[in-house]
Amino acid sequence: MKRLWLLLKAILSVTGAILVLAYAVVQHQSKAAVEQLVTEAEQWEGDATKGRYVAVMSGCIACHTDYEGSGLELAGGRAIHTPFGTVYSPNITRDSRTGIGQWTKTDFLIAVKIGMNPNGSHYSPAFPYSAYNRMSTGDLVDLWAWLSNVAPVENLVPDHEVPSVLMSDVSLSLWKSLYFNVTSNWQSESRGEYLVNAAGHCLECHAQRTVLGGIRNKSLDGNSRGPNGQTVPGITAINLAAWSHEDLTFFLEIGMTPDGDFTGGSMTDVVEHSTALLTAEDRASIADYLKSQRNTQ
Amino acid sequence: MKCYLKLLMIAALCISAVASAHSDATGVIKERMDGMNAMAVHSKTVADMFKGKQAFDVIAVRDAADAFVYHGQSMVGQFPDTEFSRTAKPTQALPAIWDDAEAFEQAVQQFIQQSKKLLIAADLTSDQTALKKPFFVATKNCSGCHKRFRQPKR
Ligand code: HEC
Ligand code: HEC
Ligand code: HEC
Repeated sequence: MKRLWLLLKAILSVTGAILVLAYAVVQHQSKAAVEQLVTEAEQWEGDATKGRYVAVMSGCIACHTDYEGSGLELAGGRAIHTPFGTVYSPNITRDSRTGIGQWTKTDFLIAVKIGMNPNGSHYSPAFPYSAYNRMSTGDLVDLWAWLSNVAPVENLVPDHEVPSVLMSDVSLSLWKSLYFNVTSNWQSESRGEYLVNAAGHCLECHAQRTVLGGIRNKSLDGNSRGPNGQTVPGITAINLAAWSHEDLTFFLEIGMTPDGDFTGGSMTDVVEHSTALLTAEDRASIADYLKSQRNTQ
Repeated sequence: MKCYLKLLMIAALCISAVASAHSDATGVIKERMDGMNAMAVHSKTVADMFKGKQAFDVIAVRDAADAFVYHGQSMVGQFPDTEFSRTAKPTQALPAIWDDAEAFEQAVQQFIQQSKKLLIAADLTSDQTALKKPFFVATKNCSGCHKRFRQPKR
């Protein structure tokens, strides 16, 4: 009995130490990354027209608009069902009470690239900042130039329905220390890779996840437990062997599979609000990149 | 000998079951699935022309539009609110069809309207580029309706 108690105490203190360490490390790394980001951001003048395109290719509008409810663009409220509970996308218009009216460019960049709130706390990974961390700062400054000029919309969004212990800074730090590389100085090998892995965040749905909700290996192998309980097919070269380049670009444009059927589920939104609105060259780059991917399993 | 025949028949049954994915569907569910699959064949034909896999032929676009209007109009009676229609295998119909009947009805009507526009466009022009837009607009209803009212495939 006493042994058991000792063992339990040992386990608890080790776990505690790991949590504290994870928290400290993440806090420290984030601080360094923030400083780097601030200096980088100063080199860029934002271009709002380009920014709108960046918003489209990154799916910000689709996720921050509740099409089935209020339908107010960027005013949030869309429910995202995760294995840990339901989160609601926040209002990201410049409304000072219910949106991000008080935010500066730096606040914005830190939120999207580092997953940190202006008051220093961490965001839930339902916000795909792990992918956006790889986006170029120039693109995000353009995005801010556009977003910060969108008319404010007053819309109060429901609170997340996730156990508060999971949304605490300590839990989220642990998650980040496991699955998020904040200091990555990531260079895309091609436009297609950038669109798929950074802006398009295709891995968020098309990759296998661990029990803790992290992306297991950065491969587009598919996910048997995707968003809203839906199975998400793999989209590597092998999975898409029967698809020609034109089949893929056509799918990304109108959502039709090679057999004439139409995609359903959450992919409909990705096509309608994102890939359909890209330039033909960008869709071709995505297709090229997907056709070059291998499965890991 | 009789035994062999039986085996053969069973084998044949198995093969035909694989060949047409939903041959186990019956009644109104089979009817609507057949309609959907007929539309998919037309969509594929037109898409293959836009992809450059087949020579462009405006008649095929017209036929597709015709089929969309016809099967769209048939949908009105193919989703009765009965236990069978709601749940019998292998239906992928979602309860929202009946629980949000007004929205479903509207989705059907919009699909018919936009397919009619495609039909008119195919009568007016045989220019491939000019027909792309109305084809996309009509088929956006396929994915739009599937998103809300059909269970995902896998
Ligand atoms: C898959 C859905 C999804 C996508 C795509 C998405 N977000 Fe979010 N976003 C969220 C969620 C959920 C939160 C809230 C996270 C939390 O509260 O922990 C959030 C939070 C934010 C915040 C912080 C708002 C606040 O009030 O604190 C900003 C700013 C933001 N997102 C901007 C963006 C931008 C810009 C993009 C595109 C580059 C984007 N989001 C794409 C889901 C998404
Ligand atoms: C919000 C989740 C989500 C995101 C993000 C997402 N997908 Fe999908 N995708 C799905 C789902 C779900 C399906 C299956 C839809 C179905 O069953 O009809 C799918 C299907 C596909 C298919 C068809 C595969 C097949 O075998 O039928 C392709 C290709 C595809 N996605 C590409 C992409 C690309 C490229 C991206 C990034 C730009 C992306 N997806 C981002 C959820 C997503
Ligand atoms: C107004 C709603 C609606 C529209 C418009 C619509 N569908 Fe469907 N579709 C459905 C529903 C609901 C199902 C599931 C039916 C079932 O399983 O009982 C379905 C199923 C299908 C299937 C699978 C059939 C099977 O054998 O399982 C295909 C293929 C399909 N649709 C193609 C299309 C195409 C192509 C279009 C457009 C040209 C289209 N659909 C337009 C509602 C719609």
